[in-house]
Amino acid sequence: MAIPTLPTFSAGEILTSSVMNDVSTLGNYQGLFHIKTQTVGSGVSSVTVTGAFSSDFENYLIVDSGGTSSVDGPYRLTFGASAAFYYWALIYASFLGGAVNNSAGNAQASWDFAGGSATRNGLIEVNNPFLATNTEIRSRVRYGTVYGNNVGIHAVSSSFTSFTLTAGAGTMTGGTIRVYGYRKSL
Amino acid sequence: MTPEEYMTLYPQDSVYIQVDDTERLMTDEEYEAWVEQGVYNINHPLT
Repeated sequence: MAIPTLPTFSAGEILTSSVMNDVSTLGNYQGLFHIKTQTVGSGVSSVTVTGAFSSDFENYLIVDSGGTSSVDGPYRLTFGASAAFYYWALIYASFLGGAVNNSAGNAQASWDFAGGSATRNGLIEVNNPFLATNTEIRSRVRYGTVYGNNVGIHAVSSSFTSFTLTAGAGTMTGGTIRVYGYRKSL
Repeated sequence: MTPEEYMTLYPQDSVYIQVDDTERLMTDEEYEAWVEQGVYNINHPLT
């Protein structure tokens, strides 16, 4: 499919159906749809974002940026009120070199390596949190000398509309958590 | 770090739980569990 290129419109210009159809095409084929932005308060141990997941999308991207944590460490992810059956395999190493290490989570109470660092950052991909099936998760974590990728599932076949980010230690201040949905194919 | 040191850094009346744009302080039970988890995580970092 050819991707339309829109002209710059002028005041008073008559917009034809052809031009408006190009606008529709561009809108309909946008890959990510912004669902919600949540500002993080000051000195909070956790932030719950409600209304994040729905039947509108199956796959999501959660982006946390611009904030800080009082402790240079990881933060955790949970869905709804579910505090069980989070499985992961975190593969990590140090930028200083040395061995590649791992941290395994087997039916844990939370997804323990969702993001991190004192200058808080997180990119979390989530498949099917709203569907009543297992949710697949991928996140990356960086703090101290630890750099890693974390992959796994939340093995609870329930539908969730909200999630919570919780500092592993200390508190979080500022920044924004943005939730995007991956558009389904037209 | 000890729980006492952690509680000195983060008194119960200074830490909030946020849900969307609403914040509240922790209950005694929540604060106790939060201190225990935080101290453990600080004392057991990935290496």
